[in-house]
Amino acid sequence: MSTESVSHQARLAAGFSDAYSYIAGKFSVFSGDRIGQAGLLMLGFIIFLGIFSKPISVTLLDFTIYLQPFELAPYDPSERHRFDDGSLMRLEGPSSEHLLGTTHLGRDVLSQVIVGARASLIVGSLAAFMAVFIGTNVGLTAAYLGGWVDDILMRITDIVYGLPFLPFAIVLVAIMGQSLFWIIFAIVIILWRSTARVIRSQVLSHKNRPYVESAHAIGADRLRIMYIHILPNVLPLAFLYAAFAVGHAVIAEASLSFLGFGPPGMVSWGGMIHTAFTQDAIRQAWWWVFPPGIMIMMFVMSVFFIGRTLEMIVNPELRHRE
Amino acid sequence: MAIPIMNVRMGNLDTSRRRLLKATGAAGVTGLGLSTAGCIETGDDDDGEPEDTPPDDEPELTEPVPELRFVMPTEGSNAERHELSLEAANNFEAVGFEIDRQQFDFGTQVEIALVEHNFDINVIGWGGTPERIDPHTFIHDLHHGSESNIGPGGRNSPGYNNPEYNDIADQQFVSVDMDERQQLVHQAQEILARDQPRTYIANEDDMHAYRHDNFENIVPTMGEGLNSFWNLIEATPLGDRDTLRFGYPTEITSLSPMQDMATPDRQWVRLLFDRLYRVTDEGIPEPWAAADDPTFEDDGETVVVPIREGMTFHDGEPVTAEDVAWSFEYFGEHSVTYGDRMAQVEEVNVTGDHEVTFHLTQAFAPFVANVLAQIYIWPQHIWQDVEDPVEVSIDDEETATGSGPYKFNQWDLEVELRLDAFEDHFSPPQVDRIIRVPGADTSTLVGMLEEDSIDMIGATPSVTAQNRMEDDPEITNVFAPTIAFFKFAYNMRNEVMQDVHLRRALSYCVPKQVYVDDMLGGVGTVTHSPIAEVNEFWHNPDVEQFHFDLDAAEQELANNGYGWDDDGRLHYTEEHDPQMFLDG
Amino acid sequence: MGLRNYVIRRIGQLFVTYFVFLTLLFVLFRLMPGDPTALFVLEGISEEARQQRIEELGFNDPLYIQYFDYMAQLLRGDFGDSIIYRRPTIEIIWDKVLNTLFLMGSALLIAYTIGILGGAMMGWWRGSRFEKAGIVGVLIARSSPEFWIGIILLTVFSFQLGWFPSAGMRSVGEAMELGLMYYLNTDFVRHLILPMLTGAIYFTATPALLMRNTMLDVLDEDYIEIKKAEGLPERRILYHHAARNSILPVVTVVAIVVGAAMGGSVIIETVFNWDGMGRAIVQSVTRRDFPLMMAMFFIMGSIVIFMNFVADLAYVYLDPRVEYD
Repeated sequence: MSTESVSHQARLAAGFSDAYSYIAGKFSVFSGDRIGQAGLLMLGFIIFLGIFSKPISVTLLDFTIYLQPFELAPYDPSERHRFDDGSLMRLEGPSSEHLLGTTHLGRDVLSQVIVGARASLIVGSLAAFMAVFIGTNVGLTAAYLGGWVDDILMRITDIVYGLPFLPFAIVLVAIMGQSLFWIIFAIVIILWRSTARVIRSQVLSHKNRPYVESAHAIGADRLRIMYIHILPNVLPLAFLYAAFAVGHAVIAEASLSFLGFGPPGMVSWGGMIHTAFTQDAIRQAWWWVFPPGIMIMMFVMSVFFIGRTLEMIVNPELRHRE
Repeated sequence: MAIPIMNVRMGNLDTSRRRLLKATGAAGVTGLGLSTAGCIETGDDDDGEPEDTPPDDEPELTEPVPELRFVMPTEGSNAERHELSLEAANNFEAVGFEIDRQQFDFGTQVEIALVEHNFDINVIGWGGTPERIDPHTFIHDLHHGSESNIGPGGRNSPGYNNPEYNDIADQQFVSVDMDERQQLVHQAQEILARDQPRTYIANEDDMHAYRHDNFENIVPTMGEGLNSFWNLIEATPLGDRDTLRFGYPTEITSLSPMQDMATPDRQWVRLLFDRLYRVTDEGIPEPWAAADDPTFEDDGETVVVPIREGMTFHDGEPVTAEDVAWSFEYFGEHSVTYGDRMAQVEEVNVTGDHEVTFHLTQAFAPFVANVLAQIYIWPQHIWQDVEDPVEVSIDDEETATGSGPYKFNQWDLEVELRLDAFEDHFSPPQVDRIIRVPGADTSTLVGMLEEDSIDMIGATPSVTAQNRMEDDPEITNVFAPTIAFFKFAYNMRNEVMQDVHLRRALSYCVPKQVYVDDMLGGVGTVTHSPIAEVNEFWHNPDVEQFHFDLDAAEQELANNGYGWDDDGRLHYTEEHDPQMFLDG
Repeated sequence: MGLRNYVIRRIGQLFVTYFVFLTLLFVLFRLMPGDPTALFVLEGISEEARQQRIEELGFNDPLYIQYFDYMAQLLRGDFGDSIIYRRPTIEIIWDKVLNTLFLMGSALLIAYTIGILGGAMMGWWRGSRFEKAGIVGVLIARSSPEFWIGIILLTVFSFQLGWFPSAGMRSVGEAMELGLMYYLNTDFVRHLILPMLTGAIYFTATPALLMRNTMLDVLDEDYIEIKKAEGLPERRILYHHAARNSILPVVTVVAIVVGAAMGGSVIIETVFNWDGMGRAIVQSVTRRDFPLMMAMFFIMGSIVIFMNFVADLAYVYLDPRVEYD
């Protein structure tokens, strides 16, 4: 279990540091682009919420190390609050103690909104990273090797295109059980395909360029050419797709959660709206429905805004299909 | 399969009250977000108070108690039970159990509980249809240890097989003397309470709603609320209305009693087809298409039923004693749902112009309620040549020909079902037409009721909607108690669950009152027995009660061969001597 | 390789894709836990009757026989009987398919009309306030999950203003019209407007952004400058020359949008309780009604696969720069 978790963390860290160095290198494009700046600001805010919403601790044997001891959420999001007479604070509107009111079970909405950032961040970043990782490799391999490899990989992509996301995810969750892992898995399965196609066509255009031919000439092996020579040239595009993929993954997670198939045991924004919807509170409890909706919108908007700005430098002619 | 993403705990689980919890790593699936809020219930007040230090003579610990597989509904499939399950799981962990939380949708959960038996703890409720007012189903089918009850597809999901109990469950259904039978049923409940094969949690009562500006004379009944037969016949429209628009969250699956049927199906089938008797609110069968109570002869092995005169089918043909006798045989032969009810009937004879006689293999106490009041009277002239009625859909006027108070008009699947009043019936309905609207979910129906698109809802809306409708000047909420009950089942096929003390300890961890007050908004009744309190005649109020009490749970364990290690994890001790059942 | 060869090869691939897709569906549904007959145990069906039902449904046959039966059935266009309703599946889903096509079709129509016009204008007035606002607006719409748009529309137009009904497809008691009149009446349209708008808002972004991008390319072409120099009215250049030449890529992408719309119908139909395929898929999964599930996936998947096929063909046909590889 520990080795497994280390590898997850390492992959995550690697993903973030790559993305960071890439974005940092291109940061100059954000100056003078208001939309991009707004995106960065909103994303920063949500990452801030995600990190500081609740403490993060690591327990090693008997020691508990707090990586992050702060707690922004005013209450435990699952605590049921009561009035002094012991009755449940059912659907109370905003007050000084509960700035965004309470849910039908007397839970603090603000705390749920803050803590919910973490679910979206985790699902969004993990799913996007994995989807782009798979998509890039598939696209690269298919285009570079060509022939039957290309045929098979592209037919698989076609088949995956035939799976409508939500129905497929619902079936998958019904088969494998409702868990965070399988939800991310379902999102990844659906998201990698668009990256694969775009990377493939990009690699195709690079395949016959002089620098690749000269690498051939000096006898570089195929793996080396693929990953050392070609990959760096399509990586910016991959990162751009990662930005969009985060947005799509967040929407996908929220939609699944809204249908009641979200990750169990986690407070998520889509899940909050699901509860409000099924508990019939959307007619009256605006304080419960609107904040998580706005947060989802803001998160997705932020990555789309950033993506749009990056797009201008990565590939001005890019048409993203989807 | 719960796959931990990281070993990082994100969330302050340390807020939970118990020292024991700290060690269980109770981070749920990932420990993200859902931390264990303390339970709020009276009778538990041990915050901060140091746990008793173990006395020196405490027995040696042996193996840890294995992890328990707790199969619960997802939030999407049942939000209220999901909440309770999570809270109970936290409590189980608080007393030292290790819990594997498994969330499934309803279909999978039912299969796990009733067919695969792949669980330690499972969360399912049993519906409270009128024939279950007679205690036979809940006492015998759910708890008797016969092979057909315990095996796959049987209804004794815990696999409870207590010889002492089996005897009583067997005796109660041959006992024709009501008082004697009542004694037996009470005794059975005592044993169940003692042994806790299930934790009986609550009766989830109904709170239905209707527009009182459109209808009056509402007749809700126990367990069915506004879906009751009497209500659909007696409800009287106001003003110049002539149609009752009735909302229910799911579509009926079939109007044919030959096919598998769900509860809502029966509620509409019985409007089309008459039965000899109808079970009243008190669980007593009373004559309907029969002219009078049956007469029992030969110690209850022969039952003579007089048939009401002057009845006709919707197509104008008279209802004869031959139709009645033929129907019982026909159902016994073909019906998926009702077929086995005829198992103890040797033969059915027409013994007069308006008289039918049943010969039974042995006396059967619930015969009237469970057989005569269940099987429908069908027109022999329409069905006599149909070889396999199971394959025939009832979806037009001919196939739906019965003698009931309503006749078929049209059925547009998942849109509307329309029935028209049958004016020649001996008890015709108050409306000319009834339209059944399947609404996909209850909150949609609430919206339709508020917008005056429907007149009544036959399901319990969310607490939020109930409160909102209470303030609506045109809508009345209607309370109806139920005998349906909701419970945790403990799988006694697994060794770990075979110890009665472990089961009893688990039962002390279930916050029943919190469930009723918070999750159900007060529309429910805490129960400690499978027979509901409202089922007055059969309910035994004196059974042992399990109220939420973690100290009692620990006590029960500590006294019976369990102990805790330094991390608070529950272990067996050398004194552990598992006991399946408690002696009376 | 010529266009003809490409098309033939592509058709061959279509069949392979289809075959694998169907096999995948079979595997998925066989893996699925939850036995539809178990639900009836709660209602009191005996074990004997349950076993008989399982036998009838063919769940006891060896897997390969089930697989061949399944493929043969699909080839005959026979989806079997619904387990829950015991009626031919096709009878049950036909209306739902139409309902979904009506809803998503009208939504996409609006999304495309607005998207193309708006995108053309954004491209035309490049760098203007209008363009900026347009892009932000489109991105905001694209960032809002369908259920969120739906809830906002419901809150404003149904709960607050009371202009439109909050759910369903028609008023109770109005449902018995048949044929085309089933759809062509004001009651139906009143119910249609909010869910249609939800879809329209969500799907406007793709055509709008794409249209704008191609417009920018086209506007850089020399002949536009020439037309301007000729003194043609701006509006005429915009609609007759620039927009007309930019529209092709937008059209080819329809296929992918249709695919997304199929999946998205689940959400919209849930929010508005629309009696279509999306909602029915969720229901049939919960109830483990395998034949119904299968038929629904088959139809949705077929639409998407076929549209992708058309898109690929349209793409090479319309854009000579693409290699037929």
